[in-house]
Amino acid sequence: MTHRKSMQSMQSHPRSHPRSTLTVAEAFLRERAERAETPGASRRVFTRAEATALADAVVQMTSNPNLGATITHHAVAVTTIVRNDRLKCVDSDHLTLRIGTRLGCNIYVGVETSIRDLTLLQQVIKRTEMQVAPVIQSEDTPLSAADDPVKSFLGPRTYLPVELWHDTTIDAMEHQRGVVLAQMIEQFRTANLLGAASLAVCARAEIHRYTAGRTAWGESTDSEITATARMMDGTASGWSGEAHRDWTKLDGVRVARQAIAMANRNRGAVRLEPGRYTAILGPAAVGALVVQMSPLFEAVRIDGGSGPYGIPRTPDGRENRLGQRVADPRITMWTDHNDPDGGDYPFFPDDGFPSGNNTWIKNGVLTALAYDVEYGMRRGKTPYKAPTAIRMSGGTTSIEEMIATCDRGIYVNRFSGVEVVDGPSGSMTGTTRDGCFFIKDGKIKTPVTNFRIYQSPFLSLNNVMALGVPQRVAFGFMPPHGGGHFGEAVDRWPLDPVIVPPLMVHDFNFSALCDAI
Amino acid sequence: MSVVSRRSFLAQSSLASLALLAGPTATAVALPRAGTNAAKRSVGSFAPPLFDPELLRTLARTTISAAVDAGADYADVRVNDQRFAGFESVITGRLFYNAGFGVRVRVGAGHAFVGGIDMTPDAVTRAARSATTTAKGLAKMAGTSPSWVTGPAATGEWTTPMEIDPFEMSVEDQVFATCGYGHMNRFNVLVTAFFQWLVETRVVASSAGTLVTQQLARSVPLLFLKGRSKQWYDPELYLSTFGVAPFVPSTAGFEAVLGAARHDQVDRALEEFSSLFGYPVGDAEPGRKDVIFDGGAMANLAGATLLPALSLSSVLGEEQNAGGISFLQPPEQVLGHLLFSPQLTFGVETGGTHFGTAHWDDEGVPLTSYPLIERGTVVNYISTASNVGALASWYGQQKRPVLSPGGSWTEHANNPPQGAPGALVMTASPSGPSIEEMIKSVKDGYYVYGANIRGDFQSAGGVIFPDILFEIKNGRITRRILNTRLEFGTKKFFKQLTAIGGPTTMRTIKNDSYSGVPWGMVTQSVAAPAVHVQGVDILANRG
Repeated sequence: MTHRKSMQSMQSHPRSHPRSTLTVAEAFLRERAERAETPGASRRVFTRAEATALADAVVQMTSNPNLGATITHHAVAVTTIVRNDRLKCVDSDHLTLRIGTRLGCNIYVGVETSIRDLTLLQQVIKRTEMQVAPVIQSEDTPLSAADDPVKSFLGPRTYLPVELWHDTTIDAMEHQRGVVLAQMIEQFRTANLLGAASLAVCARAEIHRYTAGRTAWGESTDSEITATARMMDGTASGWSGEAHRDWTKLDGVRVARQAIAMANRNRGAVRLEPGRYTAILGPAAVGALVVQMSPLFEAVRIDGGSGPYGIPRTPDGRENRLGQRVADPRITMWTDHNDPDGGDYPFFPDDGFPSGNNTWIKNGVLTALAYDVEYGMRRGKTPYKAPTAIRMSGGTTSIEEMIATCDRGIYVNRFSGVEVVDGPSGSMTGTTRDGCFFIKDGKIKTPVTNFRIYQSPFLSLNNVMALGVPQRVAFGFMPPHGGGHFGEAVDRWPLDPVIVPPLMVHDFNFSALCDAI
Repeated sequence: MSVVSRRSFLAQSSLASLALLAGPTATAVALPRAGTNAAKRSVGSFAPPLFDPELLRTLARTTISAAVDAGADYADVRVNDQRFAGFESVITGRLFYNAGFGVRVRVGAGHAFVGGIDMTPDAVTRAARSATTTAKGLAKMAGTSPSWVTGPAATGEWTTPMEIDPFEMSVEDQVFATCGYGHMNRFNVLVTAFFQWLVETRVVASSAGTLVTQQLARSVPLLFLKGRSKQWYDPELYLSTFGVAPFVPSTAGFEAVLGAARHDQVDRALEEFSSLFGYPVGDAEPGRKDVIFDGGAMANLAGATLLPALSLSSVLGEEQNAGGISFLQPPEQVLGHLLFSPQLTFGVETGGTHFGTAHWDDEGVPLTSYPLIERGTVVNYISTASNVGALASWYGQQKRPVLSPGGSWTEHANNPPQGAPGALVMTASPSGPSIEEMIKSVKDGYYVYGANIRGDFQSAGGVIFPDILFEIKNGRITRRILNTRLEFGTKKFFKQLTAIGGPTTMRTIKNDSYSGVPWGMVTQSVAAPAVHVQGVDILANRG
């Protein structure tokens, strides 16, 4: 689905801003247009034809009939506003060429590089082939010709097309960000608050090629606007954010206004005793919990008895909770490779295995687990990566209706720093941030200071009282799971789409007060 | 393709590597030197540098010229050719090549960065022009911001000193060394070695005349011990994973993992770790108690709290919409004030084998060692040339020139640099007690052996999840405690330090943190001694 809109139509949205600001923005647009005149600059990542040519060249450089190459090109542009009008823009370009071959369940030999110069690539690949030769095979996992699971692994695969590209988002990378920037600055200045915002736009393209003939291609765009407004004296703050694959669906002014409104409502927060309360969690708060659930679906952990979906080994050999009810029957969670608002990345992870559609929890019942290549081959399961993009079913209850039916509870705008800290239960900790309110007798009574939480999402998903309409949430600053090798991170922004409803849950554990504002 | 079994590999391995397993005496006499294993293929033969340093310098000069010609008030650029090799004792090898560049431009108050991976004059010229165009556009909308203090121009070259270049070691010996340590498993303790080597040529240039070339090397050799049981999820049997000193992030070569001393230290660590299984298990008594934190737990705590809180970019609100605003602000109410225990001294160290040692940082500023907290008083922040101007008043009071102390860094040139000095050290008490003496001094309390820390978004407080927690009664460890967390407020915690351990209690940890907007990961090392803290909140039952 490719969307094209002229600049005129994009700018025809009603705006109410001082002329001086728009004049500056128009000048900014004109200057950015110079860049767009550079051939190929506006697309930012390689085209299918360019990627295919590169992949073909790589494959022709090797004599190994079982070499796989996955080439990922990712461009991200982030503009930030700090203290209302300090501006910085970061545009960066990342290319990863992963070439390798699988020699057994546990042995993958490969190399990763950002080089795409063909002469240099040839040197890299020749050396990689030499590197394969002296591989030391572990005596613990013998490979024999008869039961070589790699052979079936090399067979044909079906790839679904990836249609998550929006030209309008690419256009924003070159042009529209400047307009939104000016509008958001104006909002912060007028509100007399300290405003900070990030406008992130990215394009990703990926090709997977196997020497045996398999080829797969995907491309996507994504964008996100987040804003924090803070009292000049640092006593209260508010946050808001929007994310969408199509930049035109985002409204920077709305984001800034919501953050400002939340900060203003959050003035005069009082301390409330920690404990278990009914919680009304805004979509961003739910998203912060759900995104951390990803590794808890990994079969390799679950079958070892770990996590809330695992069962410590018993004499009857039962290993996990597949087929058992693990959540409220109103809860369904799934990943759809081609969900126009969702979709995951990378498109072809784990030796190029295709992402597809997977329903993890259906009507509250655990229906699927994620298998990495090594464990999948050992267990005879098709590899499917743990979900980084998740869509969750919802309901029709508005947040206002949830508040109206709540006798005593806490509304949470979002959480910060959520992490799983107890593998066996999946319990997570984190803090509330940028908007937390005490609800009494169906009304918001007062803003309250922040809490640390300690909660298993599986308890929350079983304690559901009401669900709202699902929406994609923005994360802004949210480091990826676990550590990486030196320097990983920037190319993972924005995070994959997480589409969740606001939730009303009982007995949510606000375990301690948190002094941070 | 020939596949070599581990056994046959052992038979073929060099004397030098066999010495690793043979024990201290043999190891001491047989340290391999570059070139001694020429019969086998070195790691470097698979992964030589792809770009001549002169080409990197040419690209850097081209970038700066293009930015200045396009109208930049100031521009700097980092260009690097980076090679990473990793080996693990479960027999995996990883190899990465990364080359890239990143140009940063200032026009008035508009700042722009463009990073790329096409190492061609055309690509860097386009990037420089694009960054300048963007900075010009931003300058028209931007208000005021602290001026950059670029300091004197730097020129020259520098190479990380090391005894044994890990890229000159053979693949076989790399794998053998990791497996050698792996074979030191005890009946209840698994040993996993993971060696990571990163070498690169990095060029930094600026429109102020800086042009420096460095051949940098960083090593992250890690050796983990893990309690082993068939049911690892059983908390009574499972013990967490621990890094073993002295396998710590450093600026050193392959010598960091060899030698009799290393072998002995692993042996001692195994002995100590195995003994931990011997204590009966039980639950904690909630309340406020005296707690001894070992050096590893303290280093993790300092890395999760003091380190981000002392970042000037966080203090100035540059991460308000990201990681958060530091609780150590505003600077005028923090700098020069006694906020912590007078026993606390914490600062940046560089030189020798400290992780991240180089001659210049990513802004061409010479690296220096400097205190951040001196005897409980905050005396400086982690700053860069792009934000140190905000400290002009404080530096003026100190009658010091307003200059970055060095420490701007990015892991990859195509990401923007941020204030990230390589090594941070909390100072031990020169005549301080040993860990045994510290435990003896506690009548009723706990001993935290390693810990994971979850701080909040202002680094103002958080939760400590001990790797292993012991109960202390009358100066003796009595039980291993399960399912317990400790909560802390950062300021109060570091005020309540009552004793700092001696040099023997120092531990160094690898600290991976994410910061900046957009965020990037940086690896740092943090070292700390054991400490005794009064009145720590103990909360039983994690749920």
